[in-house]
Amino acid sequence: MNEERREFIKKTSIGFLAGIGVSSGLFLNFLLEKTDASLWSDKNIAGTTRWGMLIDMRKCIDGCQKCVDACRLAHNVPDFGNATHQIAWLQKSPYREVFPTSGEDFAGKERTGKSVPSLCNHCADPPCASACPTQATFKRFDGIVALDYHRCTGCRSCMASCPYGAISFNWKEPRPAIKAINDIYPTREMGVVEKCNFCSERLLKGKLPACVESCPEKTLTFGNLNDPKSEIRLLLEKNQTMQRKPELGTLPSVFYII
Amino acid sequence: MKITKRDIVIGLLVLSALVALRVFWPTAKAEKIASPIAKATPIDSTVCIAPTEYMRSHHMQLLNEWRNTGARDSRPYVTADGKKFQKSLDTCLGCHSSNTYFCISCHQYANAKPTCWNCHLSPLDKP
Amino acid sequence: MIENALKGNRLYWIWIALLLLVIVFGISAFSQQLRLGLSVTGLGEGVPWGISAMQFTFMAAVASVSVLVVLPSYLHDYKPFGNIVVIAQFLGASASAIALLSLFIDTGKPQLLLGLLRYATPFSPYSWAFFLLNGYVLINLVTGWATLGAERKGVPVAAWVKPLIYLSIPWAIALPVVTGFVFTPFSGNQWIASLLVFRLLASAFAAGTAVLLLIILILQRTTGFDAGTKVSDKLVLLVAYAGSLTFALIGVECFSRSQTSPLLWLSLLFGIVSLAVFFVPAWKSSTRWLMTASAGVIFSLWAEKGALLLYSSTGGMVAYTPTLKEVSMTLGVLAIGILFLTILLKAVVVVKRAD
Repeated sequence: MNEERREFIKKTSIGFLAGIGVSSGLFLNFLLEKTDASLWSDKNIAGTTRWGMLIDMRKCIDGCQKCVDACRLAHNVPDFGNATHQIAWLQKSPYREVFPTSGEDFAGKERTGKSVPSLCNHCADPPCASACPTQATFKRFDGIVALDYHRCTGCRSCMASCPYGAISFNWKEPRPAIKAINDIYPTREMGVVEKCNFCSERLLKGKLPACVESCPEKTLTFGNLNDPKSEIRLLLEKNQTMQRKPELGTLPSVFYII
Repeated sequence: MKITKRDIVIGLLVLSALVALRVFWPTAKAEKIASPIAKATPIDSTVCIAPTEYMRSHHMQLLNEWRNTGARDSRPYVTADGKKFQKSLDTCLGCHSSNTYFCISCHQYANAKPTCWNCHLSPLDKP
Repeated sequence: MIENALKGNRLYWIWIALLLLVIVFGISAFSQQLRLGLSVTGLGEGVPWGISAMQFTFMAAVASVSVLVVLPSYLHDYKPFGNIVVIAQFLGASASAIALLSLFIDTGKPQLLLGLLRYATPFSPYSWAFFLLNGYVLINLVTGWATLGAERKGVPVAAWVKPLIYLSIPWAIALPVVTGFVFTPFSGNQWIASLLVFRLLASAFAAGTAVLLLIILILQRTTGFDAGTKVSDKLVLLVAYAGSLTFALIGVECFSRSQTSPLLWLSLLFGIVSLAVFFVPAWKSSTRWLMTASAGVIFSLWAEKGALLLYSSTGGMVAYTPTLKEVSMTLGVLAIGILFLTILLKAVVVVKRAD
């Protein structure tokens, strides 16, 4: 009996291991993502794209909502007018809500008294994308953390895992709450999550994101973080910038100058 | 056949070598796609994607494929004769929304209820 | 065997009617949710998950209890547990079914839930949980039913059942581990995050054995099926061990958070008081005391899961009150699972008493 059991365990484990070996050979995309050795040498590779944004709070005017309104209009973001069911891709929130761990507790009002635009950080290592059970939230080739609304089941794993609260859920039917419908972008439906997409539909047409374009003060700079000659890289080189909750290791692509 | 410890160890070594080879094999494809801004829009909204007869019977398959791949595969859809299209419902509606009832008249007759218009704005919803 | 579900005394039918009533309330609430969206629940901005998710974690944990019976009985040949293996397996199946249904009512678009199998990814703990729970329902139903059938005919269990039973052992341990990963974002700081999976595993065994003990004691009272004192003694021991470990870890969390949810303190208090019963010889020999104490442990570990959800994943605490509709849906799902378990256990009791 004992011998038999040992033999059984031996054989099944060999079979199991062999199965894994064979399947990793047969199904090339099974479990393992395609790798590129050059990706490990340096995070920023010339010739590839990683879209990023720099928000210069020295220029941002308190009380101005132009970027928020432009975003709402560009993407048909509903406005329910209540905090519980609110949906926002881009919003302006008090400094301490955006940077709760920045260590600026005693800084003066001119630095921390303003409300700061916050949006999806399009992290290089996005926790939402790995939490999503259907890969509806995924990292695109150009660094944008995109959402495929067609396969979102509305499980809200991404909301739970996002440390920035950048993802909203459609608790109600969104269409009635959209003030002015923009007919070149779809709406969402009840039961899916939504968030900022870095205006990927505008990038496709060679345009800048709606918020960047709408800002009269040029507060927002958008560009390719992997291109050393881009405007955003030059600004990042010259200024002291910060990211939201960098201690979590999500590597946000949105930077701030305070 | 009697399986000895040595056989198992050799087998495991071979397996792990194979798996390691698979994992660390460099593939040039990953993340090496140039910026979409650089080569501008391949969207073509002026010609038919496929002959009318084919589209009449198979548009749902085509749209379903576009729906499943459009968001994550940035490459345009290429037809057999080399025309390129952006995988988007708007590509179709670029022409077809000129007739407001183009989709709905047939769907209503066939009692087909596609979920497209839950999110996408149908020509009827547009102001 | 299943036909025995249609025969029963007055008490049995009252119980079934009660469960059906709760289910009807749940279904009506769920139909409203399908129409109006998740706005009928108390969830909202900053509160992505509520009592339904809490039930999912708790039941995924309870489901894993079958391993504590299957393992001694099959790998260590501990004879007394042979008597309750089938009960443990059916409990595992029903609890995973409740956990799955809790996920189902908690999604925005439940009609797309099968996409979870189609697009499953090894990076998502939620994906793992869904896959493991589905598999666990199947494994336990099949092995439990086959074991029971063999027992009825008085023949040894078929050879193909054993590999499946062995498979269920790692499977069961994976369940609370995976749900622990699902809830890591709520753990606040890294010390608690590092303990969370381990704590959920310990609390799974504590909660699971408490539920199993309660079921066996209830069966003893209502149907006359007696598992034997050896079984209940062993289960008492398991609750005592797993419970001590769990409440030690909950205590660590209570004292290491800067802001501890009151629900967690309640859980700790209730847990320690109930656990005391499992250690005092005079109390643990009384069925009444044991039943109360098991219920206490179950309640306490339920509250532990709830406390987890009151932390915001962006830091701090959230304000969340479940609505009546949400509660009826969650209870409805629970009732469906209990009904399922009742029907299965009815078959078990009939077979066992015929021996």
